[in-house]
Amino acid sequence: MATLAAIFRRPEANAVAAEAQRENWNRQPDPYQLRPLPCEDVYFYCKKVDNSRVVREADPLSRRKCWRAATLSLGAAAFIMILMLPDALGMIAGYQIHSLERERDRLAQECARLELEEATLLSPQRLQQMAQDLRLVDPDPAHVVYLNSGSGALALNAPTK
Amino acid sequence: MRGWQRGEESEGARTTNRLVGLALVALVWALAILCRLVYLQIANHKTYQEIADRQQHRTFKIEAARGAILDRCGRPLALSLPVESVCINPLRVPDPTLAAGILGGVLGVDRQDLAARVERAKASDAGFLWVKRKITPEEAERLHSLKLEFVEFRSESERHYPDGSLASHVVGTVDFQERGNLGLERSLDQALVGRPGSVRMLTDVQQRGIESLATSAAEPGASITLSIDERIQFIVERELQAACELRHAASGSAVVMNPYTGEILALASYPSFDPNRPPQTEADQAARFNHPVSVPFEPGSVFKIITLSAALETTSLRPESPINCGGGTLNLFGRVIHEAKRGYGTLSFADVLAKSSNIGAIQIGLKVGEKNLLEYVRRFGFGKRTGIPLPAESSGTVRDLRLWGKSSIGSVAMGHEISTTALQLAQACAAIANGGMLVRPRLILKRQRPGGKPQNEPAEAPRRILKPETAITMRQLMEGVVLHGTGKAARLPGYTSGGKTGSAQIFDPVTRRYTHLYNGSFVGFAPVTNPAVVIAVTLNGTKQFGGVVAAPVFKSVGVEVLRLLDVPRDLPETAPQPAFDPAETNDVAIAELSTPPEDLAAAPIATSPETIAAPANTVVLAAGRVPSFQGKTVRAVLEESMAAGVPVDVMGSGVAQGQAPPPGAFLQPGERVRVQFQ
Repeated sequence: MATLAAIFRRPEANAVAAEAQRENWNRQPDPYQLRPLPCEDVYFYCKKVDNSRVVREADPLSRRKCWRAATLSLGAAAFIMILMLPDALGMIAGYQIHSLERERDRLAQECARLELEEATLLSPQRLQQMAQDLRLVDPDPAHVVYLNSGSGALALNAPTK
Repeated sequence: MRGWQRGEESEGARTTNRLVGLALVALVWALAILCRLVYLQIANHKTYQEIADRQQHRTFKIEAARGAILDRCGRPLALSLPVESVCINPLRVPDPTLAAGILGGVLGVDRQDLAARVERAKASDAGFLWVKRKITPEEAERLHSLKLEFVEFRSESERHYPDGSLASHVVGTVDFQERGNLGLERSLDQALVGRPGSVRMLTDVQQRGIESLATSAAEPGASITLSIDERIQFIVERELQAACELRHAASGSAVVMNPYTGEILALASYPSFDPNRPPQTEADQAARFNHPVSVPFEPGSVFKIITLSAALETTSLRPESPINCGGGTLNLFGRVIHEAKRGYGTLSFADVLAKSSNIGAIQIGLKVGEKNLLEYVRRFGFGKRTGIPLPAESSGTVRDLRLWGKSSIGSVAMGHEISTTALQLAQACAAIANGGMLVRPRLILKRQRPGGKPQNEPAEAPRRILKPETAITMRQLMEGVVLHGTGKAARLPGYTSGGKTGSAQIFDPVTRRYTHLYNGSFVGFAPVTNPAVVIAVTLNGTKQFGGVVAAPVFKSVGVEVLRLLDVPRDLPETAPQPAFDPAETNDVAIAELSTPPEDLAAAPIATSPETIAAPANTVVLAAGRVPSFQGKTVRAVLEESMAAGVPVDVMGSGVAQGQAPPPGAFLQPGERVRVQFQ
């Protein structure tokens, strides 16, 4: 990794480069040597820094301030939430109440509709029509058995002649 | 080192300046917001509050369900279902043609017509337009699922009559706004309609309700329980319709009534109509006339029971007293009158009724006298409304005595120069059947608000108009009509019955003559000893007599009604029926003697009409010492109990062996005497 010092100490680097160039002038030029790449002479390197023995200086005042700020922030947030909570719960309950009212109305409507359907199905005209379709007839007087309702008698099959 | 320190100081100063600048920007921003808030919430608070209210708050009208009408067993005769109606705000419709296409497809309305209506409403800046009212649940579900922004739903209710035409004249109908316009729906509209409520609701952007801000609860209408029995009503309507069609009658009426309480068990009018369908033709409108209540007619010979009752009370005539019928000819104040059928020489008082002799009735009427006859006509309730809670009840016509002509007593004695309704005839017959008490017909048993206790409708105290012995004698005379008189067709298998036939000629106002079309009537009761029902039947515009056209209706209705009411038989059901000769039923009252009905209608009515909502009192039951029934037959016990006004429960058959409470005990109001027979 190139450090900022390495990058910005260009004059020194340029001097080193000029000296190297002068040495090269004294040599016979190599006809097959490739032209140098730009900034080929700039080298990057890593500098290992060991901070393991660095110990943070204790700063109780800053820590207290920090904790206090955090606590205050959380407290303020909680306070705001507590202030808003009834409204939020009221709104949720309102949705539920409205939903339940609609459900109640729907069930009442369904109940009324079923009551109407039952009444329509049990109308005397319909029963009469069904009886005619099934070819049911009024019984002959001789085949009717009247039970004495006061005596608690049970219905019996009357023999027909 | 110093340079580095100077650089650090200048850097710190720049940072401080930047922070100060940032803080100033934030401050300006906050001030701008604050100013805007002050402008919105303080300076223009009212304006924006109104805008917010319009957007967030919606007021919904809560329709009050119309009360149901039930029969005496709680079976619904009329009830309302909540339904939805669809409306739109045309100003919020982005594309009328597209909207009309969608709504027309879902609701089945004409798309082009709807698009044109939306365009017109939009052009006139109208913010409301009905699309379709009272849609079906399926249509509502489909439309709700589309979630169209410009569509709104309004809650309404729709009246249904599950039994169709059954008791339609009693129950009545409602108009499109659910307001009663006929029958009980009209007369009890205030009680049935209830009071609508409203709710102001805070809604979100999707128009979902969040909070109800102000609510006035809707008060549903009261449910009304009638004295009508659906099964009996069906039987009566079926038999009346069959008879009217068979006899080619223009119209018909039938009333079934409990003679003791006055409860109307059935009240039928022919022709009938289906209240679920609005009237389309004039015939539909004509079918809505409630004949037994609203259409009076000359009763004819049926009215002889009034004449004979008055005679038993005011003269020394008894059932066996001979009446000179003059061989079928009578000279009444210089006018010679002939019997409508073969003449009779001398008939007994009882046979005058059984054979329906007109001259015999005139002779009896002459003995009674004008004043007494009119007094008893009024006592029986003729000439004034019965007070039944149905609209347009007719009081009939009873002329004051000073308006009577010389021969009027003869006409009134046989049921002319007077007009009555079938309901009034049933009421009069009930007075004879129950031992002489005039009871007011009752149609409403109780009312009940949803969630409330049922409130019984108060009944008016009955009024004695005949002595008990007179009533019992009249019952026996009327039984004679059925056994060997003009009403043989009314004889019931398994039950004794009594009644009177009547055939009054109908006056033609064009030719100003009486025609040969009749109002054929029969009014009677059964069983004779302890009547359970009174039945009045009238067929208008027939070519046959009451004994032929109306008496069979009495018979077919009576048999089934008595079985339904579990009334014990007092005759063997297999007893042979008497031979029936239609020629013997000729009981046509002599119409030529009478003042035409047109002149009658022009004459002032003797009694002032009562209002429907007349104050009613509670029933006062007769209280007294219990007689001894020991060793007596069922018939004797029933006759004696009726005369004493003591209600009895018959247990077993044969001869009375025991009773509770014992003889001599005081009977509390509402208490009945149980008599054991062996």
